[in-house]
Amino acid sequence: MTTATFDISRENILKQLYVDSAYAAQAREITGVPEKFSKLIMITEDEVSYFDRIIKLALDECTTALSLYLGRCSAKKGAGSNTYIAEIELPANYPAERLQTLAAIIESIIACRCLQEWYLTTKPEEANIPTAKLRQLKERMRETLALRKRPVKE
Amino acid sequence: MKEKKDKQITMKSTIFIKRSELRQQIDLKNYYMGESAKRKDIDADTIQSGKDDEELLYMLIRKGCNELVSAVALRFPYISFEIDDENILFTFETDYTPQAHLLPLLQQAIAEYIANETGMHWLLIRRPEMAQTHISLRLGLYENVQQLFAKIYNRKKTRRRATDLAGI
Repeated sequence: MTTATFDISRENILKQLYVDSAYAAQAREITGVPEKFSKLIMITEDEVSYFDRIIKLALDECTTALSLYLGRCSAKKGAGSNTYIAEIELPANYPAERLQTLAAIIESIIACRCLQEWYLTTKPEEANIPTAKLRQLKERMRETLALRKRPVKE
Repeated sequence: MKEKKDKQITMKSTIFIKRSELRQQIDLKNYYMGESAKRKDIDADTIQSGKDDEELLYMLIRKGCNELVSAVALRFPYISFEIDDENILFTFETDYTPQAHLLPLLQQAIAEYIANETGMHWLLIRRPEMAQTHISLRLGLYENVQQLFAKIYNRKKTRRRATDLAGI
Protein backbone atom coordinates (compact mmCIF):
# COMPACT_ATOMS: atom_id res chain seq x y z
CA MET A 1 0.00 0.00 0.00
CA THR A 2 1.16 3.55 -0.68
CA THR A 3 -0.04 6.54 1.32
CA ALA A 4 -1.11 9.54 -0.74
CA THR A 5 -1.43 12.92 0.96
CA PHE A 6 -3.75 15.52 -0.51
CA ASP A 7 -4.01 19.16 0.38
CA ILE A 8 -7.67 20.13 0.26
CA SER A 9 -7.86 23.86 -0.28
CA ARG A 10 -10.59 25.57 1.73
CA GLU A 11 -10.20 28.56 -0.60
CA ASN A 12 -11.00 26.46 -3.71
CA ILE A 13 -14.06 24.97 -2.05
CA LEU A 14 -15.42 28.36 -0.98
CA LYS A 15 -14.79 29.78 -4.48
CA GLN A 16 -16.81 26.90 -5.97
CA LEU A 17 -19.62 27.64 -3.53
CA TYR A 18 -19.66 31.39 -4.31
CA VAL A 19 -19.71 30.76 -8.06
CA ASP A 20 -22.30 27.93 -8.05
CA SER A 21 -24.69 29.76 -5.73
CA ALA A 22 -24.29 33.08 -7.60
CA TYR A 23 -25.18 31.48 -10.95
CA ALA A 24 -28.10 29.62 -9.36
CA ALA A 25 -29.46 32.88 -7.84
CA GLN A 26 -29.04 34.71 -11.17
CA ALA A 27 -30.85 31.94 -13.05
CA ARG A 28 -33.82 32.14 -10.67
CA GLU A 29 -33.99 35.95 -11.00
CA ILE A 30 -34.14 35.61 -14.79
CA THR A 31 -36.99 33.09 -14.53
CA GLY A 32 -38.96 35.60 -12.44
CA VAL A 33 -38.32 34.52 -8.87
CA PRO A 34 -38.39 37.70 -6.74
CA GLU A 35 -34.95 38.92 -5.71
CA LYS A 36 -35.63 38.53 -1.99
CA PHE A 37 -36.15 34.78 -2.54
CA SER A 38 -33.43 34.17 -5.14
CA LYS A 39 -30.83 35.94 -2.96
CA LEU A 40 -31.48 33.40 -0.17
CA ILE A 41 -29.43 30.77 -1.94
CA MET A 42 -26.51 33.07 -2.70
CA ILE A 43 -23.45 32.40 -0.57
CA THR A 44 -21.33 35.36 0.44
CA GLU A 45 -18.30 35.87 2.64
CA ASP A 46 -20.59 36.46 5.63
CA GLU A 47 -21.50 32.75 5.60
CA VAL A 48 -17.90 31.49 5.62
CA SER A 49 -17.87 30.61 9.34
CA TYR A 50 -21.03 28.45 8.80
CA PHE A 51 -19.23 26.50 6.11
CA ASP A 52 -16.15 25.68 8.20
CA ARG A 53 -18.20 23.14 10.15
CA ILE A 54 -19.85 21.76 7.00
CA ILE A 55 -16.54 21.41 5.16
CA LYS A 56 -15.09 19.36 8.03
CA LEU A 57 -18.25 17.22 8.12
CA ALA A 58 -18.13 16.69 4.35
CA LEU A 59 -14.44 15.78 4.51
CA ASP A 60 -15.11 13.20 7.23
CA GLU A 61 -17.97 11.72 5.19
CA CYS A 62 -15.72 11.58 2.14
CA THR A 63 -12.90 9.76 3.93
CA THR A 64 -15.42 7.33 5.42
CA ALA A 65 -16.75 6.60 1.92
CA LEU A 66 -13.17 6.14 0.65
CA SER A 67 -12.29 3.75 3.46
CA LEU A 68 -15.04 1.36 2.23
CA TYR A 69 -12.87 0.67 -0.82
CA LEU A 70 -9.36 1.43 0.42
CA GLY A 71 -7.20 1.04 3.49
CA ARG A 72 -6.70 3.68 6.13
CA CYS A 73 -8.09 7.15 5.31
CA SER A 74 -7.99 10.20 7.53
CA ALA A 75 -8.30 13.96 7.31
CA LYS A 76 -7.12 16.76 9.55
CA LYS A 77 -6.66 20.51 9.47
CA GLY A 78 -3.38 21.58 7.90
CA ALA A 79 -0.98 24.24 9.09
CA GLY A 80 -2.71 27.60 8.76
CA SER A 81 -6.44 28.03 8.31
CA ASN A 82 -6.72 27.45 4.58
CA THR A 83 -5.97 23.77 4.03
CA TYR A 84 -7.07 20.36 5.17
CA ILE A 85 -4.83 17.36 4.78
CA ALA A 86 -6.27 14.04 3.70
CA GLU A 87 -4.15 10.88 3.96
CA ILE A 88 -5.35 7.97 1.88
CA GLU A 89 -3.84 4.50 1.64
CA LEU A 90 -3.99 3.41 -1.96
CA PRO A 91 -3.09 0.01 -3.47
CA ALA A 92 0.48 -0.28 -4.75
CA ASN A 93 -0.82 -0.80 -8.32
CA TYR A 94 -2.88 2.43 -8.34
CA PRO A 95 -1.73 4.69 -11.21
CA ALA A 96 0.10 7.72 -9.79
CA GLU A 97 -1.02 9.96 -12.67
CA ARG A 98 -4.63 9.69 -11.41
CA LEU A 99 -3.94 11.18 -7.98
CA GLN A 100 -4.61 14.75 -9.16
CA THR A 101 -7.95 13.66 -10.63
CA LEU A 102 -8.85 11.98 -7.34
CA ALA A 103 -7.93 15.14 -5.38
CA ALA A 104 -10.10 17.29 -7.67
CA ILE A 105 -13.06 14.91 -7.30
CA ILE A 106 -12.71 14.95 -3.51
CA GLU A 107 -12.78 18.77 -3.54
CA SER A 108 -15.87 18.77 -5.79
CA ILE A 109 -17.62 16.27 -3.50
CA ILE A 110 -16.96 18.46 -0.48
CA ALA A 111 -18.19 21.59 -2.28
CA CYS A 112 -21.31 19.77 -3.50
CA ARG A 113 -22.03 18.42 -0.04
CA CYS A 114 -21.72 21.95 1.41
CA LEU A 115 -24.09 23.24 -1.26
CA GLN A 116 -26.56 20.46 -0.47
CA GLU A 117 -26.48 21.38 3.21
CA TRP A 118 -26.95 25.05 2.31
CA TYR A 119 -29.95 24.32 0.08
CA LEU A 120 -31.49 22.12 2.81
CA THR A 121 -31.28 25.15 5.12
CA THR A 122 -32.34 27.96 2.74
CA LYS A 123 -34.41 26.29 -0.01
CA PRO A 124 -35.22 22.67 0.91
CA GLU A 125 -37.48 22.13 -2.15
CA GLU A 126 -34.43 22.50 -4.42
CA ALA A 127 -32.00 20.37 -2.40
CA ASN A 128 -32.54 17.41 -4.77
CA ILE A 129 -30.36 19.14 -7.39
CA PRO A 130 -27.07 19.09 -5.45
CA THR A 131 -28.08 15.66 -4.08
CA ALA A 132 -28.25 14.24 -7.61
CA LYS A 133 -24.93 15.89 -8.49
CA LEU A 134 -23.36 14.45 -5.32
CA ARG A 135 -24.45 10.95 -6.31
CA GLN A 136 -22.84 11.39 -9.73
CA LEU A 137 -19.61 12.66 -8.19
CA LYS A 138 -19.46 9.68 -5.83
CA GLU A 139 -19.87 7.32 -8.79
CA ARG A 140 -17.05 9.14 -10.57
CA MET A 141 -14.91 8.79 -7.46
CA ARG A 142 -15.65 5.06 -7.35
CA GLU A 143 -14.68 4.70 -11.02
CA THR A 144 -11.43 6.60 -10.41
CA LEU A 145 -10.61 4.40 -7.40
CA ALA A 146 -11.14 1.25 -9.48
CA LEU A 147 -8.25 2.11 -11.85
CA ARG A 148 -5.17 -0.10 -11.73
CA LYS A 149 -1.79 -0.10 -13.46
CA ARG A 150 -0.98 -2.89 -15.86
CA PRO A 151 1.62 -5.15 -14.13
CA VAL A 152 5.12 -4.69 -15.50
CA LYS A 153 7.96 -7.17 -15.59
CA GLU A 154 10.23 -6.69 -12.56
CA MET B 1 22.28 -58.93 -9.57
CA LYS B 2 21.65 -57.31 -6.22
CA GLU B 3 25.13 -55.72 -6.35
CA LYS B 4 24.35 -54.35 -9.76
CA LYS B 5 21.13 -52.90 -8.42
CA ASP B 6 22.97 -51.27 -5.52
CA LYS B 7 25.35 -49.59 -7.94
CA GLN B 8 22.51 -48.21 -10.04
CA ILE B 9 22.97 -44.48 -10.52
CA THR B 10 19.97 -42.19 -10.33
CA MET B 11 19.92 -38.84 -12.12
CA LYS B 12 18.52 -35.87 -10.28
CA SER B 13 16.84 -33.27 -12.45
CA THR B 14 15.61 -29.93 -11.25
CA ILE B 15 13.06 -27.64 -12.84
CA PHE B 16 13.43 -23.97 -11.95
CA ILE B 17 10.49 -21.63 -12.10
CA LYS B 18 11.21 -17.99 -11.37
CA ARG B 19 8.86 -16.66 -8.70
CA SER B 20 8.77 -13.17 -10.19
CA GLU B 21 7.76 -14.51 -13.62
CA LEU B 22 5.03 -16.65 -12.12
CA ARG B 23 3.73 -13.69 -10.11
CA GLN B 24 3.76 -11.51 -13.21
CA GLN B 25 1.77 -14.13 -15.12
CA ILE B 26 -0.83 -14.33 -12.34
CA ASP B 27 -1.06 -10.53 -11.90
CA LEU B 28 -1.35 -9.98 -15.66
CA LYS B 29 -4.18 -12.49 -16.02
CA ASN B 30 -5.99 -10.99 -13.02
CA TYR B 31 -5.47 -7.49 -14.44
CA TYR B 32 -7.09 -8.32 -17.80
CA MET B 33 -9.91 -10.29 -16.18
CA GLY B 34 -10.56 -7.33 -13.89
CA GLU B 35 -10.48 -4.76 -16.71
CA SER B 36 -12.98 -6.81 -18.68
CA ALA B 37 -15.31 -7.40 -15.71
CA LYS B 38 -15.18 -3.71 -14.67
CA ARG B 39 -17.17 -2.79 -17.81
CA LYS B 40 -20.21 -4.37 -16.15
CA ASP B 41 -19.40 -4.13 -12.47
CA ILE B 42 -16.98 -1.54 -11.16
CA ASP B 43 -16.33 -3.58 -8.00
CA ALA B 44 -14.40 -6.15 -10.07
CA ASP B 45 -11.24 -4.20 -9.30
CA THR B 46 -10.96 -6.39 -6.19
CA ILE B 47 -9.67 -9.27 -8.31
CA GLN B 48 -6.73 -7.28 -9.68
CA SER B 49 -3.76 -8.42 -7.66
CA GLY B 50 -0.55 -6.50 -7.01
CA LYS B 51 2.40 -6.16 -4.67
CA ASP B 52 0.11 -5.80 -1.64
CA ASP B 53 -1.22 -9.33 -2.16
CA GLU B 54 2.20 -10.98 -2.21
CA GLU B 55 1.76 -12.74 1.13
CA LEU B 56 -1.56 -14.36 0.23
CA LEU B 57 -0.45 -15.27 -3.30
CA TYR B 58 2.73 -16.85 -1.93
CA MET B 59 0.59 -19.03 0.36
CA LEU B 60 -1.61 -20.04 -2.58
CA ILE B 61 1.42 -20.79 -4.80
CA ARG B 62 2.83 -22.99 -2.06
CA LYS B 63 -0.52 -24.75 -1.75
CA GLY B 64 -0.63 -25.32 -5.54
CA CYS B 65 2.92 -26.75 -5.59
CA ASN B 66 2.11 -29.07 -2.71
CA GLU B 67 -1.04 -30.36 -4.40
CA LEU B 68 0.79 -30.99 -7.68
CA VAL B 69 3.73 -32.77 -6.10
CA SER B 70 1.44 -34.88 -3.88
CA ALA B 71 -0.61 -35.99 -6.87
CA VAL B 72 2.43 -36.74 -9.08
CA ALA B 73 4.28 -38.53 -6.26
CA LEU B 74 1.46 -41.10 -6.04
CA ARG B 75 2.30 -42.35 -9.53
CA PHE B 76 5.97 -41.64 -10.04
CA PRO B 77 9.17 -42.05 -8.04
CA TYR B 78 10.87 -39.40 -5.98
CA ILE B 79 9.69 -35.82 -6.58
CA SER B 80 9.90 -32.84 -4.29
CA PHE B 81 9.63 -29.09 -4.38
CA GLU B 82 11.31 -26.23 -2.61
CA ILE B 83 10.70 -22.48 -2.65
CA ASP B 84 13.55 -20.06 -2.10
CA ASP B 85 13.73 -16.28 -2.48
CA GLU B 86 13.87 -16.31 -6.26
CA ASN B 87 12.79 -19.69 -7.56
CA ILE B 88 10.48 -22.62 -7.13
CA LEU B 89 12.48 -25.82 -7.59
CA PHE B 90 10.96 -29.16 -8.54
CA THR B 91 13.42 -32.00 -8.16
CA PHE B 92 12.86 -35.53 -9.41
CA GLU B 93 15.01 -38.62 -9.89
CA THR B 94 15.27 -40.87 -12.92
CA ASP B 95 17.46 -43.84 -13.78
CA TYR B 96 18.80 -42.06 -16.83
CA THR B 97 19.10 -38.55 -18.19
CA PRO B 98 15.69 -37.33 -19.32
CA GLN B 99 15.39 -36.32 -22.95
CA ALA B 100 16.54 -32.71 -23.20
CA HIS B 101 13.55 -31.48 -25.19
CA LEU B 102 11.09 -32.61 -22.49
CA LEU B 103 12.39 -30.52 -19.61
CA PRO B 104 11.38 -27.07 -20.97
CA LEU B 105 7.95 -28.50 -21.82
CA LEU B 106 7.61 -29.85 -18.29
CA GLN B 107 8.74 -26.51 -16.87
CA GLN B 108 6.09 -24.66 -18.87
CA ALA B 109 3.38 -27.20 -17.99
CA ILE B 110 4.13 -26.97 -14.26
CA ALA B 111 4.22 -23.15 -14.37
CA GLU B 112 0.84 -23.04 -16.12
CA TYR B 113 -0.69 -25.46 -13.64
CA ILE B 114 0.58 -23.50 -10.62
CA ALA B 115 -0.53 -20.17 -12.15
CA ASN B 116 -4.01 -21.54 -12.86
CA GLU B 117 -4.30 -23.11 -9.42
CA THR B 118 -3.21 -19.91 -7.67
CA GLY B 119 -5.54 -17.81 -9.79
CA MET B 120 -8.42 -20.16 -9.00
CA HIS B 121 -7.91 -19.98 -5.24
CA TRP B 122 -7.46 -16.20 -5.45
CA LEU B 123 -10.77 -15.79 -7.28
CA LEU B 124 -12.53 -18.19 -4.92
CA ILE B 125 -11.59 -15.78 -2.14
CA ARG B 126 -12.31 -12.53 -4.02
CA ARG B 127 -15.14 -13.34 -6.44
CA PRO B 128 -16.07 -17.02 -6.50
CA GLU B 129 -18.44 -16.62 -9.47
CA MET B 130 -15.46 -15.73 -11.70
CA ALA B 131 -13.43 -18.85 -10.88
CA GLN B 132 -15.32 -21.18 -13.28
CA THR B 133 -12.80 -20.90 -16.14
CA HIS B 134 -9.90 -21.77 -13.86
CA ILE B 135 -11.78 -24.74 -12.40
CA SER B 136 -12.58 -26.11 -15.84
CA LEU B 137 -8.93 -25.80 -16.99
CA ARG B 138 -7.55 -27.51 -13.89
CA LEU B 139 -7.86 -31.11 -14.96
CA GLY B 140 -6.43 -30.54 -18.44
CA LEU B 141 -3.37 -28.73 -17.10
CA TYR B 142 -2.75 -31.44 -14.51
CA GLU B 143 -2.95 -34.12 -17.20
CA ASN B 144 -0.34 -32.23 -19.25
CA VAL B 145 2.07 -32.43 -16.34
CA GLN B 146 1.26 -36.05 -15.68
CA GLN B 147 1.71 -37.09 -19.32
CA LEU B 148 5.07 -35.36 -19.52
CA PHE B 149 6.22 -37.12 -16.37
CA ALA B 150 4.98 -40.39 -17.86
CA LYS B 151 7.03 -39.70 -21.00
CA ILE B 152 10.12 -38.85 -18.95
CA TYR B 153 9.79 -42.04 -16.90
CA ASN B 154 9.03 -43.90 -20.12
CA ARG B 155 5.74 -45.24 -18.84
CA LYS B 156 2.63 -45.73 -20.84
CA LYS B 157 -0.55 -44.14 -19.62
CA THR B 158 -2.87 -46.83 -18.32
CA ARG B 159 -6.03 -46.93 -20.36
CA ARG B 160 -8.97 -48.82 -19.04
CA ARG B 161 -10.92 -50.85 -21.49
CA ALA B 162 -14.53 -49.87 -22.00
CA THR B 163 -15.67 -53.22 -20.56
CA ASP B 164 -13.82 -52.49 -17.32
CA LEU B 165 -15.54 -49.17 -16.97
CA ALA B 166 -18.94 -50.68 -17.62
CA GLY B 167 -18.29 -53.29 -14.97
CA ILE B 168 -18.97 -56.17 -17.36
